[in-house]
Amino acid sequence: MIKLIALNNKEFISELSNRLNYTIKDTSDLVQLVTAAMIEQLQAGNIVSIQGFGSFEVKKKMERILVNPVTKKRLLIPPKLVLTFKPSTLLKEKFK
Amino acid sequence: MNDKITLQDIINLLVQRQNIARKDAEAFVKAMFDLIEEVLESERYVKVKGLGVFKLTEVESRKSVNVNTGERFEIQGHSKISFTPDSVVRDLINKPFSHFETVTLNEGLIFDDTFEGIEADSNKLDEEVENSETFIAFEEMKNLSGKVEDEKKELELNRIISSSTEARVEVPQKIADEKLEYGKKLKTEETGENGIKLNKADTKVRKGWYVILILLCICVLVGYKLYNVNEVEPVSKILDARAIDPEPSLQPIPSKLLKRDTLIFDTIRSMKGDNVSIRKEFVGNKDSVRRKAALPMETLSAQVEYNIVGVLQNHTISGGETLRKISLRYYGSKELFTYIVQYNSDIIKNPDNVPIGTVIKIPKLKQK
Repeated sequence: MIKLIALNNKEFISELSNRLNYTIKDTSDLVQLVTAAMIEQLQAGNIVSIQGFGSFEVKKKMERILVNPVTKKRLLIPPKLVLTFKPSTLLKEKFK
Repeated sequence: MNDKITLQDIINLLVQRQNIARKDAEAFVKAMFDLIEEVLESERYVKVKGLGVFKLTEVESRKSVNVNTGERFEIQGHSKISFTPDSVVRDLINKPFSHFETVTLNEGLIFDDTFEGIEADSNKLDEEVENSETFIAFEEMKNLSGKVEDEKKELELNRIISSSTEARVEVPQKIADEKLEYGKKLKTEETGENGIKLNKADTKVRKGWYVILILLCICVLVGYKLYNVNEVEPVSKILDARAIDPEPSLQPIPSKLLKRDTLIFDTIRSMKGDNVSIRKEFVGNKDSVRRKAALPMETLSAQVEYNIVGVLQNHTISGGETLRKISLRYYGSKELFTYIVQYNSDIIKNPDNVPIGTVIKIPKLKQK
């Protein structure tokens, strides 16, 4: 399974490089740059929205108490920030 | 913070950092997301390194009921896009909170205490602060009762009681505010990361409530103690006064005030003898007001229009005075204050709030 995922990423990069006539290295570098820029913006608390695709947003999850059903132990889960993706309506409709 | 960043901004950033032509950068980013979309369609699964995994998941068709009509219908099965961020990305995003750890709670721990579990060391500091704050509470109560003493001169028992109860409420609130702020400071100092502020706010609020509760308890305790100390005062006096007290339900007068209250009761007792004295004073006051009102020329009617002809006199606004009152005094009509406002438009910025000590010119009015 893990292998398949890795392969998929490679496939994605190679497909992209084919289309744009870039070398594979350049393509992967560029992809990295784009994602890095996006994450930077997200870390600053901004919403990154990509037209026709969707928007990425960082959301805060409150701390909560979880009870392990087996041991009955109570655990306090700390608050955390998670990255969420909301597909645009266009994209949603497409896959419906 | 919380700005919406579009693809264009990302492209701009890319252009700035790398020496890529804008056109190329634009084409690249667009192609990238288009490809994600395409691959997602054909393979139902895309992994982008440094971002995460996009996946199509099936949603089975299920039965539902139309809320409005009560009709049964079936929601068709469809695919949904799910996104799971890369573990690297997840950690990066959660960086401000990364120092938190899942804590196992002990048996019988109350929910409120769980916060202390995390910030055990800050707790000690808090306790110290609490002690010093009780002291502040003392000081403030003294101040407030001092104020009350001034009011006492007005010989209004009602007001004393109500204001003293107000004071009681005010004290814990003030302190609670201070405490909240202090708590905030403490936290930011402790973590040394300003970025977390927003997320900690909720915890702070809860803590704030907790603190308010504690302070209330302290206030009640202190009040009770002082009450006991003052118990030496003859109870009969107090009881006597209670009889006159229009609101006997407002029973526990803050202990600090008790001494003074008995004083007031004394005066009230003496007043009981000649009950009229207050009224006399009242009437006297009214008389003086009337005399003042009569002092200017004749009473002007508010129904007619006037022209302003020169200055009647200068007037310094003192506490409790309103422009309407001044108008009543000089013209015999409250409605004519508009002329004062108009004439002093350069001095009076807001007719609803003229600062004490402002010198205004009272215009002389002549009927049109």
